[in-house]
Amino acid sequence: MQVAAVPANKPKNKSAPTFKGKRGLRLMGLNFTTDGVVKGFFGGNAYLAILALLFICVFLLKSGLGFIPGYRVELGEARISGVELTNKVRYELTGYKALLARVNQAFIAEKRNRFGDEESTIYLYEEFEALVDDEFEDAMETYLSINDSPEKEAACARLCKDIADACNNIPEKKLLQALTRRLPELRKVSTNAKDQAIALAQDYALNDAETPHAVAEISAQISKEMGNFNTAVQAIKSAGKPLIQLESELTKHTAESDRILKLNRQTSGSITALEQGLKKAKQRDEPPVIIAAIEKRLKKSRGSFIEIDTEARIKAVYQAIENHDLIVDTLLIKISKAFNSLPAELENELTNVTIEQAHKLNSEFAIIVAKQKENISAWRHDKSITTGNTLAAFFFGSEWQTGSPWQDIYGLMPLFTGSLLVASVSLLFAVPLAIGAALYVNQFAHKREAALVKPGIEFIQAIPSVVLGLFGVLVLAGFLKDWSHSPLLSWIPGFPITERLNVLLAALLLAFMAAPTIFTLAEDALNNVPKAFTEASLAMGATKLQTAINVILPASMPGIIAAIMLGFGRVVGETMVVLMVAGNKAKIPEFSEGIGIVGQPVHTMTSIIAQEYGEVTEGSLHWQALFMVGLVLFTISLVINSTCQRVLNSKNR
Amino acid sequence: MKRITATTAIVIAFALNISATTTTRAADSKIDIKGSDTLGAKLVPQLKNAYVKDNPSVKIDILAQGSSHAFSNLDAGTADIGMSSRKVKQQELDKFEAKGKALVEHVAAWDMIAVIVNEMNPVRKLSLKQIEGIFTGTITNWAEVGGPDATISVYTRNTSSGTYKSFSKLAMSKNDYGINCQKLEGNQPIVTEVAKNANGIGYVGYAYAEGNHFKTVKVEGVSAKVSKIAKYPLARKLYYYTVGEPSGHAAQFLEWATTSDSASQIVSEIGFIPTTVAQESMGKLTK
Repeated sequence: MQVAAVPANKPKNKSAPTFKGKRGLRLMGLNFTTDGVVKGFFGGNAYLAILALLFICVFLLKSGLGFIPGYRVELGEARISGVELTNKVRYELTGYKALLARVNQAFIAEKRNRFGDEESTIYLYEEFEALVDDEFEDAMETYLSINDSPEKEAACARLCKDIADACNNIPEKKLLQALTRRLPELRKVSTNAKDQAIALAQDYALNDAETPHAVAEISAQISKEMGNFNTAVQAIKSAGKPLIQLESELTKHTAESDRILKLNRQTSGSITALEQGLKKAKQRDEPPVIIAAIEKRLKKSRGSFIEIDTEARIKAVYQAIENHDLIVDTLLIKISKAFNSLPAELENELTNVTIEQAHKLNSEFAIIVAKQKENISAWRHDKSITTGNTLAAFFFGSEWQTGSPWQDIYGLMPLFTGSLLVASVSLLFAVPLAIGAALYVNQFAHKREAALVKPGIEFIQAIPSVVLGLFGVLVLAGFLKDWSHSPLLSWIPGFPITERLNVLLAALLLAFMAAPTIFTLAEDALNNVPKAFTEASLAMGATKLQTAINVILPASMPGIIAAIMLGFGRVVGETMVVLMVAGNKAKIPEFSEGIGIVGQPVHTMTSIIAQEYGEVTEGSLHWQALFMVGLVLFTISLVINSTCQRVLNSKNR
Repeated sequence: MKRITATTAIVIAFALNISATTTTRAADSKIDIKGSDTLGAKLVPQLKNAYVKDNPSVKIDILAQGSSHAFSNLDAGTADIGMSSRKVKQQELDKFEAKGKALVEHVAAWDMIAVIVNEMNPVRKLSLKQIEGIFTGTITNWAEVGGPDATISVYTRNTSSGTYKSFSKLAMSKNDYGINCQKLEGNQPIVTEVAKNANGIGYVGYAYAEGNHFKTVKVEGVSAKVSKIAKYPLARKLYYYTVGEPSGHAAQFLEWATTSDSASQIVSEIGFIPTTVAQESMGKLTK
């Protein structure tokens, strides 16, 4: 028996029985027989689907496309006001701060290594302070309310003794545990440090829960004794000040211009609305009172325009940025000088590693600065933003920042890469699983076995995605993280995973959801391979396995590819699971980490819509941006589906 | 024909019904409360249940869709009381002032945003500057704030949440959240993640601040305790708003909900801090 690959392509030459009945009621040119009505009903249903699809297309386009001109206006304002320029300086500042943080981390690692005892005093004190907070709140209050001096002295002694007792009662092991998290080398809690910490805790309790200055002094003393290292860190810290100052100066100048431009745009929006309303009111012959009221509001709106001379305002910005090159060059020189003064090789491994990382960040920072220097000198506030720029800013923008007090940025890239990454990784799991299962069920399984396995796999599809998500968050996430830390599995690239919610977790759950889709379609495709192929292969002496792999699999390839693609479409469009388990970090995953990338949290196109539609105002730019994301998703699905059709058809030709 | 008359009758009945409810809204014993879901999800419905038990003649309708709905509904006259987890914005206030109406503010309760970390984390206190650094992404390692050498996992609410904005205002000097934040759906998911991730940090409403495997940290040396609310830097007020001084049933309900002991008890049970308690704490501070 030969079955065509796709039922839709069955030959249509045989005359199918059509609805043909006796003449019934004719009304407005339509024939109302029973058959006619039934036929109309079915046809109507079919066309309703097409109509709904068209409607959704039009709706998406209508709501989403307004985004491009709207975003263009906002980007234009960001340019004219200088916000765009400020962002470039901010970008540099981020690089600098990352560098500073890393140097600081190295400093702390070294400090802990060299002055573990002194550091442990501070950490012990923190433990004791928490204890005092928890257990002596009332006692402290009673003590503070006593005014009489001899009585107060007695109370003071009592409180001090109680605190000391309570502190000494904490098991040594527990204290050591709290310390070794920060000082891994520590083997024993020093009595000296403990006594000092207890004294500090008593001081804390007697002085109305004010952390004693002595604590900060210990810390300052340690830093001082770090010598060269301390001077280097301080040098890097103070070297950044001019850049920070430049950024705040630019922010001050540009934020105000941007705010006024935005307000004026709002005002002009309400003026247009009022003008339209006035026209309509006049057409309707509304009473003069109402028209007068509208005119009054219109006048008020017209009066609320704020005069702004962007040209004059931007001058201050250009003036401030003039020093930029000098500032960053000095900064770079100062940083490299400070780096040179750092001790070359230290005892502590962690310090060395961190300094190494800081060196790397430093060279990255130098690259950023060189690039931004070019960008900044080429930047002109009066260069207009084209639609092309806007499209590029949306499709290739590397940041999605909404509800921001500074500037809302809609860049698709973090979401797009996130969606794609999750979907591809999930297919890595789902495809071998589903195709293997399909091949087995179709070729090797006993009939009864197939009758058990096939519905079983297909039943997975019936699990609501929110249930899978819940399972992922509450059960699988923990397991996966724990497993990844087990030494037995450390050979797997990317392990151990530090984040609980990540790409791998989402991909595993999605693979579970995509597998039934791929399985069913692949199984159908295998089924559709003409029996003659199998028979011929077996007749030539091939084994059943050889036949399955060398004959049947290639013959059904187009169907299997289509199955995989539809599985991909299913995964890209899935919302609930990724929203719950993918971690929702709107940052382009760091591909430099290789396979370790699967341990990172990502945000996806579907979950951003689900997460943000709740509070957006209808018609606002943010609202339109979400529709644009929806449009991209829709296009992806459309392309996948039409490619599937094409792949399948190409085989039949 | 018969059918048409029936339909018309129904339509007319509906129309009459609607106009009847709109014209007599102030006079009858129904109170419409609309706005914030922080207040409207649990607190106000429970207050309503308690209140209606004692005053069976009063009918209270609650609709919680977000704070901004409080003001639009008050403006349109479709609510008697508005609930809001933030102060009214100038733009919103302008609308009332332009119509010559006064908007009156009543403090419903206090809330504290607690900063939480995993119980394994030895860090016990953070300054506002450190919190700002962590959430804006300039501090990325626990060692920088006195913790172990480990990368910080930052969990926040998402942009549509009022707490997201309140926290940005109270703790981050209105700066943008960093790019490394993982945005979760609500208080409970944040609690779950922080409780299960030794390097996690997040913030939740006071109602969620107690639980297993995580702890709150002191902010600027002040712990998130009811007794410390006057000094706690991340405390915020939750409000009821009315147009003009309230009258009739709405006034009675507000009076009961903000001052009575039984209402205070419900407020504390839900995990907010009653105004009376907060004021007591404030009084102590000034003394």
